[in-house]
Amino acid sequence: MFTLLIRSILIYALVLFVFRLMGKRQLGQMQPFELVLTLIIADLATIPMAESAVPVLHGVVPLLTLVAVHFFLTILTRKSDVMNRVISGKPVIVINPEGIDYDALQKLNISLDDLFESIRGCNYFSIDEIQYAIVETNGTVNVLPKKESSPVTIQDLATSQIVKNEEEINIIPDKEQTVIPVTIISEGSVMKNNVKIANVDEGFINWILEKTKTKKVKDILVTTLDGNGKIYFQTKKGKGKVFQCEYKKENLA
Amino acid sequence: MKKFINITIIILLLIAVCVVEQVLADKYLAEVEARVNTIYENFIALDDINDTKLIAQTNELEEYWTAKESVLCNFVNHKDIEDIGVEINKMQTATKDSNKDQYYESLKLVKFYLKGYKHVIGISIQNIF
Repeated sequence: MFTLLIRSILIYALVLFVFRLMGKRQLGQMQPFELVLTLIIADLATIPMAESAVPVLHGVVPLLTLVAVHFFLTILTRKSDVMNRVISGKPVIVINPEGIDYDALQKLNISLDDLFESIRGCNYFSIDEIQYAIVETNGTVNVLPKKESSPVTIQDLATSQIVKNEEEINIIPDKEQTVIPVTIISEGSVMKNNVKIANVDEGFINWILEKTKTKKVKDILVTTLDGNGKIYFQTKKGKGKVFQCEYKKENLA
Repeated sequence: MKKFINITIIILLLIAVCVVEQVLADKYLAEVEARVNTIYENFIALDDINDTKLIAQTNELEEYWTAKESVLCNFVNHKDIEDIGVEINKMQTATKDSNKDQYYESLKLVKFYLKGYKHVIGISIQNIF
C-alpha cells in the first residue's frame, strides 16, 4: 500500500510538471492537439498508479515523450502557417454582414441551435445585432457586434454630435461600422493570403517598413489592417502603435 | 530558452532510459538463456537429475535470476517476467525432490518464456503495432 501511495504522489507531481510545461491554465484555451494530449495524460497517469506490477517508468516515459512531441508541435505551428492550419485548423467566419454562412456551419458540423447558444453566451440574442461571428480553432465563438448594438465607448462620446430638438436633446455617437482587422504580418512573416483579403499588395509591406522606419519584416511582431484603414503595428522589441493607412494600391484591377 | 533546455534534458533522459533498458534486458536475458541452454544440454547428456554439476548450475541460475530480476522490474512489467522466476524455482524444487519430469518441463518452459520475452522487449514492427 505504501508503494501505491508513493507512486501516486510521484505520478501526480509528474503530471503537474507536464501541465506546467505545456503552459496552459484553462481547458477552454486548448487547441485540439493539446486537448488530445490532456486526455491521454489522464489515462497514462492512472496505469502505473493503479497497477503496482507496472513499473513507474511505463508511465513516465510515455508522458515525457508526449511533452517533447507537444513542444515540437507547438514550435511547428508557430513557425509554419500551413502546419498550424493542418494541426489546429483555422478560425471560420460563420456570420458576416450578409447573414449566416450556412455552408461554413455545415463544414464545421455545427447546428444552428449550437450557434445560437454560443451567441447567447456572448450576450447577443438576435442575429441582426451581429456584424461577424467567428468560430475559433478551440471551438469557442467570438462575436463582433454591429455598431448600433455595440457598447458605447468614451471615444464614441468624444466624437458624438449633440442634436437639440424642440422637446429633447439627442446624443448621436459618431461611430464607424465595426470591421474585423486582418493580420498582414505575424511574427516576422507576411501572411500572403491575408494580403489578398485586405485588398493590398506587396507595396503595402514596403510602405509599412518605410513609415515605421523598420529595416526588415522579420523585426515586426504584428501588423493588422481593418476595413476602416486603421493599422496596428508593433515590432518584436517595440511598443504597439496605431495609425491610419495612407497607402494606395497601384494598378487596381 | 529555459523551456528549450528543459525539453532537451527530457529528450536526453528518455533516450538514456530507453538505451539502458534495451541493453540491460538484452544482456540479462541473453545470459539467462545461455545458462539455461547449458543446463539443457547437460541434462540431455547426463539424464541424471541428481548430478551435482546440474544441481549447482540450477542453483547458480536461480541466484543469478533473483539478482537481475529486481533490476529488470524497473523496466519491464513484473507479471511479464515472474513466470521465469516461478519455473526456475520449480526446477530447484524438482532437483530436491528428484522429479525428472517436472525439471524437464520447467526447463522447457523457461526456454519458451525467454524466447517470447526477447520478442516482446525488443524493437520490432509487431511490437509497435
